[in-house]
Amino acid sequence: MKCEICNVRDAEAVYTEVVDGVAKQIHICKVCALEKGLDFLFSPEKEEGGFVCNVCGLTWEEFEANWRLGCTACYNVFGDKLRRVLESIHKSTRHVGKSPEKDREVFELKKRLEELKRRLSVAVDEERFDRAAKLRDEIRMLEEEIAKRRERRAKNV
Amino acid sequence: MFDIEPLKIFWLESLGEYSEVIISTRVRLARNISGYPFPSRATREDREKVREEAYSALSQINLFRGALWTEMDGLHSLDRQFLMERHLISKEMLSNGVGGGLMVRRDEDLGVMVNEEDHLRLFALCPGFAPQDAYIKVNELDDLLCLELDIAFHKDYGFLTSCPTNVGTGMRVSVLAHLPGLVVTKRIREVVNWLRESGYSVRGIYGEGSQVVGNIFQISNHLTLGKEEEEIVEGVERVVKKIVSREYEARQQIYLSARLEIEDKIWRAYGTLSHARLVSSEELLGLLSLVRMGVGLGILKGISLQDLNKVMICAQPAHIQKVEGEQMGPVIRDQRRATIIRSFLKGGIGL
Repeated sequence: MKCEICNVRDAEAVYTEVVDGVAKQIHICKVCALEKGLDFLFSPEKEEGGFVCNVCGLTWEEFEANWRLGCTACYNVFGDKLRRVLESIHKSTRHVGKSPEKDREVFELKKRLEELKRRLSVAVDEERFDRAAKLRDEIRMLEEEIAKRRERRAKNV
Repeated sequence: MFDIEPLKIFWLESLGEYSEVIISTRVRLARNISGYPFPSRATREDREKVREEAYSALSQINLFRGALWTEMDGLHSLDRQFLMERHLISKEMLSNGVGGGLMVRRDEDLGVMVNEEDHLRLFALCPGFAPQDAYIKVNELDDLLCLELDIAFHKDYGFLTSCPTNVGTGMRVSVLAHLPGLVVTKRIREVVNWLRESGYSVRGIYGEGSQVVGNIFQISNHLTLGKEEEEIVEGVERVVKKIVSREYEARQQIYLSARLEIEDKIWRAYGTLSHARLVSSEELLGLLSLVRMGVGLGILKGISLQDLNKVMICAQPAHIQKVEGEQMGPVIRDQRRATIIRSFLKGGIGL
C-alpha cells in the first residue's frame, strides 16, 4: 500500500486521526511520519506491541482499529501509548475541570456554601454591610469545615 | 411501552435567544460506572447490571420524579426511531439496544441514556441559544448522580469514557444552527473551515456521520480534556455568537440584493407547505428552511418559530406513524405529513 500522504513511497505504519469525532486510519511512510512529527510510530516501543488490558482483554491493535477502550483499567494499562493519543487529540493530558463529590455531607455543605456566597453578593449590592460581614464569617466557617472533612477523609483513604 | 404524545414537545414551547438562527442547544456529559467494562466490551449480563444500577440511582433523584423510563430491548423499532427523531436516543441505540435504557423528564428537557457508547449519557436540551442554562441543568443532575453511583474518575484524565475523544469533562456542548444565509452566499465553507480549525465540529442534524439537510448544522466543541467546563461553554458561546452575526449579515445582504426574488421564494415555500397534499421529508426541510428565514426577516408574520421547530420533529416518518398508530408506505406517509404540516401552520397567516 502507498503512503496516503505523499502517494509515492510505500506505507510502513498506520496511525489514526480524528476528524469531527470520527476516527480515520491513515497509512503513512516513514518520511511523512517524521515530517508530521509522528516519529513515535517508528520508535522501538511500537515494535514491542502486543499490549493487552489484563482486566477486559482489549488489545492495543483492537483499540487502534475501533477507537474504543474496553474498561477504565485500559487508561492505566496502555500507559504512555494512550497518553500520546490523548495528547494528539486534546493537546493536553490533564483534566482541570470538575471532579465528582461522592461524600453526601460535603456535598450538602458545598451547596450551602454556594447559597451563602450568593446571599453575600446580594447583601453587598444592597449595601447591607452588617449582614454581609455576618455572611462572610459564616462562609469562612463553612469553608474550614469542608476542608476539615476532606482531610479526615483523605486520612481514611 | 411509553406514553409520549407525538405532536407535543414541551421544551420547544418557548423560544430562546437568537431563535431565528439557533434552533436548540444541547449539553451532554459522558459518565461510566466503575467496575464494569464499557458497553462496547460488555456482555449482555454486564449491560443489564449497569442498567439496573443506573435505574435504581436515577429513580432516587428528585429531578426525575414522574419521569419516563423505557428499556430498549423490548421496544419496537418504530418506537426507537420515534425516540431518535426527538433526539432522546442516538443512532447507536437504534441498532444496538441490549441493556439500553432512557430516563427522560416529561418536558424532555433533561434525561439520561443508559448503555449507549458510555454507561451513562446525561443530557439537557434548551430552545434557542442557551449553553449556560443547559450546562447548569445537566451539571445539577450530574452532581446528584455522583452521590448515588461510583462514577469512574481518573486523577489525571478526569471522567473516563469509552472513546478517548470524550475523556476529561466528558462534555459536549452543541447547538443546532440554521444557516441559509451563509449557504446561499457561499460563505459556509469558509465558516466551517474556520470552526474546524478553532477546535469545533460541524455535522448534520443527527450528529456523527449524518448529512446536512435543510441548511441545519450541528456545531459542537471538539476538545474535552484540559479545559474547565465553564471554559468549554464560553468557547462555544463565543464562536456561535460570531456565526450568528455573520448569518444575520448574509441574510440582510441577500435581502437587499434580491429582495423580490427572495420574497417570492419564501411565499412560494409557505404556499406549498400550507396547501400541498403530498410532502416528502426532504422537501419539507428545504421549504421549512425558506419559511424559517421568512419569519426571521419579518416577511412572514403570524407564524411562530416554535411551530416550525415542532413541525421539523413531528413530521418525521416514525412520528407520522405513531400519530396514525400504524406502519404505512411512503405515499400515505407523505400525505399524512402534509396534513400534520397544515395543522401546525393553521392559524398562521389568514389567506
